[in-house]
Amino acid sequence: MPLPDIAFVTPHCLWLALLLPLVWWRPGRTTVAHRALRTAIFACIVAALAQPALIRRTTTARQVILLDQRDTLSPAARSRARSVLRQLLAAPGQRATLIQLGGTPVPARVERRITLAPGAASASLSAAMARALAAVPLGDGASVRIISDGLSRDRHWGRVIDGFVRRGIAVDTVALDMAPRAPFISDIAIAPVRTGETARATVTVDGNGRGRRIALYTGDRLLARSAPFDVAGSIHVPIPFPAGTAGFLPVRAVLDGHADGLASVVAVQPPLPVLYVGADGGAGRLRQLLGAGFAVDGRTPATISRTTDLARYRAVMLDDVPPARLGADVQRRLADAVTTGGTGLIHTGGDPAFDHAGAAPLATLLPVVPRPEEKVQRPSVALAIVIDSSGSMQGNPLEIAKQIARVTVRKLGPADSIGVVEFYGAKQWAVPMQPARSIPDVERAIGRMQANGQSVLYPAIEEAYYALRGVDARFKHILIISDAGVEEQRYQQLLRHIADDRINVSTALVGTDVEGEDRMASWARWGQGRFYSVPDETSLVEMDFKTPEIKPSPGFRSGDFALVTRDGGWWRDRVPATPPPIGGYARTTARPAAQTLVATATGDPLLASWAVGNGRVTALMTQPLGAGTARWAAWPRYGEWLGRIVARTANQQPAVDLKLARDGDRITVVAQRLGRERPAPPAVRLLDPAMRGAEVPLEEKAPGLFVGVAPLASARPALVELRDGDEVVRAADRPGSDVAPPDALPLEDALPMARLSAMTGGRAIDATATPPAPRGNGGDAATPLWSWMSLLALLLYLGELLYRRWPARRSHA
Amino acid sequence: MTFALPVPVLLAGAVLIAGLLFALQRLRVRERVVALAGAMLWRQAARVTPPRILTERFRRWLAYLLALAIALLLWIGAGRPERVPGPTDRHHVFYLDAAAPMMAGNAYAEARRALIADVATVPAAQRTVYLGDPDDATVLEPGEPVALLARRLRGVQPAPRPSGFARWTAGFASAHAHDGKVVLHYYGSAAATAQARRHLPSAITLSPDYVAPATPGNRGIVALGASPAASGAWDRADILVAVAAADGSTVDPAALSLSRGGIAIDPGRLRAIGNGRFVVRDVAADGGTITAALPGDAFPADDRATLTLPMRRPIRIAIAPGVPPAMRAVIDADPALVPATPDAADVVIRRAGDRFGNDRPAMILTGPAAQADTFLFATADADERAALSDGLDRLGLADLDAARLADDLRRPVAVGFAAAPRRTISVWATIFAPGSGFATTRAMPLFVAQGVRWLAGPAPWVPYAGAGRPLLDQSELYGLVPDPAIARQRLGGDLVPAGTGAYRLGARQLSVALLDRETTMAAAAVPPPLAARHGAGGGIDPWFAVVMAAAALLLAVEWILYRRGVMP
Repeated sequence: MPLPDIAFVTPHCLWLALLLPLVWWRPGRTTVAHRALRTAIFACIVAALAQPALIRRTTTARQVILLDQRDTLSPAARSRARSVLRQLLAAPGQRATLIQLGGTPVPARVERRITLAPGAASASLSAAMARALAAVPLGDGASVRIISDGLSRDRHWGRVIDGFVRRGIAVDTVALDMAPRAPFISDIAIAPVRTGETARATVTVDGNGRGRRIALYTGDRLLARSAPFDVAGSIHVPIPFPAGTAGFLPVRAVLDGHADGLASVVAVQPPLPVLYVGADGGAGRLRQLLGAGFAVDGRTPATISRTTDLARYRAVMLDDVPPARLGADVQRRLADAVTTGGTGLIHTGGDPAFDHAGAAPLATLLPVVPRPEEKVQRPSVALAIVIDSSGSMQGNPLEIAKQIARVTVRKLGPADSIGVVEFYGAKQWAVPMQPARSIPDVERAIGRMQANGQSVLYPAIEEAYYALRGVDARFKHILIISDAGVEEQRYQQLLRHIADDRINVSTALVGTDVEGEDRMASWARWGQGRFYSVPDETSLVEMDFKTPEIKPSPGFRSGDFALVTRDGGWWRDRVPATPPPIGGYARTTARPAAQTLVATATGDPLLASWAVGNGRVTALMTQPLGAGTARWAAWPRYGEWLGRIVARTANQQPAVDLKLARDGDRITVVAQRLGRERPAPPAVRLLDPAMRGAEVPLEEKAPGLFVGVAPLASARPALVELRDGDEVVRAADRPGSDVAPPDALPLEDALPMARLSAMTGGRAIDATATPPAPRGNGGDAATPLWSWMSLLALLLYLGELLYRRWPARRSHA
Repeated sequence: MTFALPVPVLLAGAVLIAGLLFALQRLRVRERVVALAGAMLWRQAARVTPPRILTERFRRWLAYLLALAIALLLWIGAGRPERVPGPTDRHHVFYLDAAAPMMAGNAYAEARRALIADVATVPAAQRTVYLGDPDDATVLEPGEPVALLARRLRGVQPAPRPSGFARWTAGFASAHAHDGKVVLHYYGSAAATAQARRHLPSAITLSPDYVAPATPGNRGIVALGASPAASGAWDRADILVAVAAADGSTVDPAALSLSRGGIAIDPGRLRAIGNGRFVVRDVAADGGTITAALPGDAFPADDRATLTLPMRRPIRIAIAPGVPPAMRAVIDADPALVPATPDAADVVIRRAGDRFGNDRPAMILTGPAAQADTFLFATADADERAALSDGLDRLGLADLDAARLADDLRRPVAVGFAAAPRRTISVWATIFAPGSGFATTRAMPLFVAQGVRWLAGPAPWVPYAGAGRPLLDQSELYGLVPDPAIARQRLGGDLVPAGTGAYRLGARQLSVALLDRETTMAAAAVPPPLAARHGAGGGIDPWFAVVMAAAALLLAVEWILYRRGVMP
């Protein structure tokens, strides 16, 4: 058995003991015994002043009993709880503290009593558990006994339970039966929703009832009403309703037959950013169709460049844009945004959109390939022939030049254009630029040309170039026929400029001038054309600029085509699945792994989609804003149908996962970036109902993980808005979400009492059984000794007086 | 004044003492030896002191009164006089902070001394003493002798965790809102004092009676956490280390050392991203530990931090012959999965009836004849089943078009849960047939990938663990279900690691560090001078000490008088 400790409250008083030898100074008439007595008296007083106490370890078991007497319990359960209390206190030799939760004070002989009024904020089961832990002084052992049904206003017991476990305090629990309750709404959970979408409120109803319904209001406006339901214990009731515009939508769920409801707030996310690439004006029409759920940014193909930030869009819609028109670099960046960044791509259009000739890499992303049909094309050509009719060409060279021109002109057709410029010191149109409908007339005009003057070619080429720029043709050519005896000019710059404008320059040298051959070959090279050498009549060449092309054709079909929906997965809810007949579509074949969502009656896919990397690509084989869907203008639900396609294709993963957690008058904001990294931290504001906000300071705890804590009154809704670059994410939390009213205790927040006992080494006790004796290794106790020291000093003093006065045997000197 | 003894007993004792002293006063004084020279004197002496008399007449009133005063004072002292609390007296609550701010120098020892001295000045019934440990434990209840204080504080040392005084104050103010006026004596840091003032109602007066001194130039590690690697590698994590200096200076990256399982990490992998933050990319998420350390300074609590990395090893998977190609394609494309033999696999995919890794968690392809549910999830843990039923959207099943699938299958589609000794997912094989309403949807690859991960066991993701802060569980964000160990241990509430070091979470351990910018910055803040202290009103409880001091003084006087022969 360990020796008891002596502790002194004011140990510095022991220094007074140094004065004790003064008793022995100049003893006078006193005897040694007398001085010893007096010294003992002073020693007792000094010791008493130091206030000694005997510290010992007691074995008396201490128990803290948490007694639930709230009105939410049935009278029988309350009575049962009191009965268990009496049994717990019946064990002799124990120190008990009673913490009573609600009800009138129960008579009990306990060392200490704490009563928690049921209406007070501190009267939750978790607060009572905290008081129970606090009732066990540091270093003392104890048993805590909880007699309750476990229902609690909150779940703020994490630290308390940790304390029980760490300090080795066993918690025995006695579970009381829960009383049947009238149904009430205990919680509302609303999943994140975007503006324009259908929100889904999950309302938790506790209690017992049959055929109940819930109405959901915003202000006084009814948003939705649930189907009738029965409840016995707890039930989740889903209620879909339109989310409304972006921002915060206050809602109130009211159970029928109740005047009040449970208020909450829906955080409606901003619209999905969508990039529309197509004709001018298309973006406006798309905005009208899609509505508030999408923020459409319109661009033409020409304005998409390598600096366009594609990653800021959740979806990109290419409307009747052949991939080739975007340029290889933009295509690669778009493909990267889809496969890596998860951006959705909606590829739509008719004939040109699915013309994939030379369109890689974007074409490889599409879920369809053009129908492999081939057709011969004779592309239109605009040809300007520049003939040198200067003096040096006199005679045979000019005739050869005329012959070359005639042969070339004969190859043209009515869809082509022709013009002939002659130069002999001044430029002159022998045949003005015109459709090549009357070839004989052109030949006659060529035949009328005569040689005279100087060779001044430069302005003639310029003239031909300007004339061709104004002509609409698939291919444009300039053919220069000369003996190369021309003035020195800056031909290279001119010809390269013409070539950059997609006009090819070919040359034909008449004669055998070696320098001329080099010069005209260079011109042809700069002009991205061909060089021909015609030294005499026997070397005449046929220059055919009308070479036919064989190419795959998307095969756009016009007409009236009925549609069928192949896979209804995208068209659940209230969105119509099958659109009206269509006016035309591009014929394609779906890739094997693609999902054909809508097809024509003949089986040609009209809408197909597949996942590519992290993103999704959807192809609509008609013009959503053009001729193919012209008759859908009268279809009132077209916008809804198209919106579902965009929404399903777009990257719906939030850029930031934003969570809120209340703890009394504080709110914790946890933001985890899920998308790309940014150098600056996100900015979070805590808004009041007037949308004025205060910044919540954030601390980065892990890469992309930001945590902030801000004060917020429990009665206020938490309206939080996060901005991270272009991204805006909102979150809301209803007032008092972590603390339920005293008369509406949620079943989901009930304390798992048996598990608490198991965790702490306690026992789950049957309410009808005899409770076991409390455990615990007692604790420290102190017995004050200073009063005893004072009493001892008194007795010694009285003894000294007796000693001084008691008659003794007389002795004689 | 009040007494430990009942007043009647006290009064009876006083009367008894007075009577006893009266009797003693009348007792004949102890003889003295007197040498006399003549007979006359003998006669005189015999007259004055008759030789056969025990008592004598009462005389020397003053001597009697002096002895009575001494005896009564000692008797009163034995009765333990205490001051009676007046109606205007306030209850005194003492709070000794034992958090990180008290780890600087001798701050805690000084605060402890000051507390013990101050508590002794307040009547026992009027004071409560709390310790600012993780539980805010009661050290001294009202009425308990102050002598227990030192005993109960024996062995208590400050721990590296943020001060909980402000949070405790808020709870205390709420719980004692109607308990009348209270003086709250605080022995801790200036920063905690300032925070606590915000929560205090007017009925509670905060008296900072000891404020820890500043540690100028303090710098410390304020963040150490992990997120899934931005590179997308399944089994890798990116690590963030943030360092703060109280004087606002930039911390030299060379001063920061990182080690992994005791082996130093190449400083070249540490990339500064501004504001004292550093990132290490693509660290193997294998459940090991990363330690960040700064050179020691006068405030050691924040100079070192350790993080337990999440565990995300590749999942070994074995696929039996006959598994639909669509499933194989998903498995092949998943970087988290590596092929293995059935004996070595974490998960197998097989058909019902196959003898293929039957002792492994399995995704089993079955048919409507064998089971009624299209998807049947089985596990031994009831909580996990509940979490799984809440997480069907993360399995892709929320996007499932049940009606369409039911049309394809010509049967109703249902999801079921069952108890089983090991995890299995049994699913109808027909839904993976080419062109089925499930195999062609985005739900299928999601279902297979997430299902295999669930079968392989949870891969919890706790990004960081800060002492005194609720544990953040991101397992559900990056996986399918919350960390089962956290879910089991939290009982619906928060899980708050009390201090630094190892924190047991089911079968595994987390390393907890201080990681608190506020503590690091506040350690260097120079505390304001202490304002006037709000004492108990009467200062030291005087009665016992005064009584005993008076008794001692009178005894000394009496002793002097006695020696001079003035006293009998």
